[in-house]
Amino acid sequence: MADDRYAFMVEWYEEMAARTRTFQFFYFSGSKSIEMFDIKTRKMFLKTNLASCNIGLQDLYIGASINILGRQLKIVDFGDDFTKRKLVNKLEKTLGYIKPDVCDKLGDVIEAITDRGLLIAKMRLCKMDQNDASTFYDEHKGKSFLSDLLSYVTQGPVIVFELVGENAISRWRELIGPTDPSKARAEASTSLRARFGTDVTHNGFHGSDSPASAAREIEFFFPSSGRNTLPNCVCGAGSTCCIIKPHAIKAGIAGKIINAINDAGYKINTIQQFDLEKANVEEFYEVYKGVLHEYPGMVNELCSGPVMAMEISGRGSDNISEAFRETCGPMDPEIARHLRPRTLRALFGLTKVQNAVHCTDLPEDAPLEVEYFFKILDR
Amino acid sequence: MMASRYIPRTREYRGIQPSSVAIRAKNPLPQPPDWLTRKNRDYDDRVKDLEAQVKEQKKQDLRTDFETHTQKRIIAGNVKTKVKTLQQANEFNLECRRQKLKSLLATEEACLIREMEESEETVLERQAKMRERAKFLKDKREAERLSVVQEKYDQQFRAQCEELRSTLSKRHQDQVCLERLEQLRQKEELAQEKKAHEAMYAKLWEQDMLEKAAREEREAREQHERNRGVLEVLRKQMAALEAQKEEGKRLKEEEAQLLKEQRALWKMEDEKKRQEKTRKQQETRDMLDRSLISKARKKAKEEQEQLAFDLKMLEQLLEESRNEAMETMQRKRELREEDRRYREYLKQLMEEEKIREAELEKMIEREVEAAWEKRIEQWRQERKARKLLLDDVMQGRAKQIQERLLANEKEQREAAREREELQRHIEENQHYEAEQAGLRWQRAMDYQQDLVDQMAYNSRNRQENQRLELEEFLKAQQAEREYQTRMKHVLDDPRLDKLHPMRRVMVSE
Repeated sequence: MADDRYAFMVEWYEEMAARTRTFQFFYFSGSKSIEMFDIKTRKMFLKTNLASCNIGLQDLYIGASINILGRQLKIVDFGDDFTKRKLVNKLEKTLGYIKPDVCDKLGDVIEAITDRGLLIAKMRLCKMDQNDASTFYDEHKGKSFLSDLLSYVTQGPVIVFELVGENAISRWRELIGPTDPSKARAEASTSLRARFGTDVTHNGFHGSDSPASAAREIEFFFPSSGRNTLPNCVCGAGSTCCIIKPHAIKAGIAGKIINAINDAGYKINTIQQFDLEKANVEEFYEVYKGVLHEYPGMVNELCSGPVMAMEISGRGSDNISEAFRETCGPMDPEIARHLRPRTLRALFGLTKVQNAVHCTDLPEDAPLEVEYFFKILDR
Repeated sequence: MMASRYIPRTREYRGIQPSSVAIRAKNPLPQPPDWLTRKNRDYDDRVKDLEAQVKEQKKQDLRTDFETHTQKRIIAGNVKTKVKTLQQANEFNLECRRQKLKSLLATEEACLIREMEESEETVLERQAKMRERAKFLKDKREAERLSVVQEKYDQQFRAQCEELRSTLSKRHQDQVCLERLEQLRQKEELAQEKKAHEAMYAKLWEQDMLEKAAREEREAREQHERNRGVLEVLRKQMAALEAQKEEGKRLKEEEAQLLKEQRALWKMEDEKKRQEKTRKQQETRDMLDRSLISKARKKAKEEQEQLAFDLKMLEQLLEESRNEAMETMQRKRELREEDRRYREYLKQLMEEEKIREAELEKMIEREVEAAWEKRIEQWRQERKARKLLLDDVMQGRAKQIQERLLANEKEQREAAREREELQRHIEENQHYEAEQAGLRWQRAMDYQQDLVDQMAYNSRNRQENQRLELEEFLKAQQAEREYQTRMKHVLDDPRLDKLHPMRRVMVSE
């Protein structure tokens, strides 16, 4: 692979000065080195090729947040034509959602997506009412199946995600298979509709069919203004909070973790993917400050990439957080592997910091944590 | 007009009577006389009032400002206090939660550590465990042994039950017969297929052979054709050579003939020249003769005429003398005179005649000479023309001959070249033929070698096949023997659990 220079425009919120600084960000794919050029002062800001940065070309897309030496940068634009030309195909976006009846198969779906090499840029569980659904399916207006479809997609929450990758639109459509699940079973038995769909209307999945419609649908579900219009399904009481940490998402085992949680008999009330800023993480982890000496490492880990936050309930609602802690296992995966080999951290964790999942430790913290994610951050 | 209209306003009004004047009273003053004073006094009063009001207002403002400010400060202070208490409460709460978390984590960790420690077993425990394990193993072994015993019993029963065995073997035989039939059918099918295959190949081979034969025949025919063509060409070339030779000979002969003719021509010309000469001489002589004769005849004729004329004159004169006597004398004189004159005249005439004669002669001579000259000239010209003609002809002829000779030579040269070419062609052809023959021979040899190799290969194959067959046969025999023994063995020890699933189903039914 040649040493190509990719340029992006990135923004960094400098906490000390409480201001947002804009940089030109250069990534050299051959040497995997990084340069940052401050636009305002016209000076080189940073130049490194630290192996610890560990950034691949697939991590760089518009809207991604990357962590360079403790600074959380948000990519806002391409920096030059070359990068745009080179990556605009690779970074095609599409929208897919899981329709209400197969929401419990989320783990399998995420696993299939990661196996396919697609990247989940955004994910959110939300509920559509009749109006939203009819706005969304505006193109099918006047067709006979519309009313069935509307009642189908509004019967429960849907899980929406924005997928990024080379030819994402066609690959996602290929992955979900033909519209009719029976046809899908005949033609592409491994496709998602073949596996989880029931009939033509209840086919379980949606995928955008063209770049234009993908843009429209992404704007519908993830408005660029940042305010999510569709409500999530948080219930707030009798639940606990679980977060899949960035290292697990990067390793592509998020689907397995979700499956494991489901298998343990818990119900995921709502799920959403967040790109956390350091300030938010510190706020979230304030209880752990001074309690655990791994606190800085935990903060860095949580803001090093996207996280999946879930509200979890189920299995005898009394003291759910205790029960879920048991399921997650001890904090240190090494100990967990010795003593509780069936727990999540034993199965998926690496170190005490990268222990696959965060779960609410104090029972009284559970509503706070849930609220923090699904009422404060997801405005 | 304006001036006439203008009536000054005055207070005086005149009456009708003279000196009657009335004066209108003055209008009263619009303001009382002390209005300015009053106005000033009012103004001062108002100013005073206003000043008092302002003062009051200022006082009020000050008070209000103070109050609002204080209020604000109080509120701010309250808020601050509240926030502080809230923050403190929050912090306290947080601290509390932290404590709780700390204790929770600590207890948990302690628990885990204890658990870890507990999981490390003591000697006693290990012994107990080992004992347990030994017991478990013993039990297991015992159970296994019992099951084996049971199985053996079962086997024994199966082996020893004659009825069961006979039925089993009968059923088995039936099954085997059926399968054998099926196998035979399949085998037959296979054989048929193979036969069809072989027939197809044989057909293909035959076709191929026929094709090859046809091709060979065609090639031979083509070769023959080509040979014949070459022969034809050669023959044609030889004929052309012959014709050329013939032509050369003919040309030479013609040349000789031409030379001969030329010689004859020359001879003839000489002859002609001679003849011409003699003839010319003769002619000259004849002409000369003729001119002499004509001269003589002319002379005689003139003499006669003269004589005749003289006589006539004389007669006439005589007659006159007789007639005229008197005149006779005269006449006589005259006559004499005349006679003398006559004589003189005669003499003169004769002389003239002589001169004329000489002149004539000369003229004739000249004439003759001229004629002769002319004729000679004519002859000469004729001869010259003839000579020219002859020369021309001769030259043409010579040229022709020369050309012929040249053409002949050229043709000879050409013929020689062609002959050479032909020779070369023939040689080339021979060479090519030899080469072709060599090639053909080589090919034939190759083919022969191929065939020999093929035969060798086939025979080797056959041998190999035979050997393989033999081996196979031996193996098959061996296998058969083994099979038989095994069969025997199996028949000796029929087992229900090794049955075909279908059969098992049948058996279970």
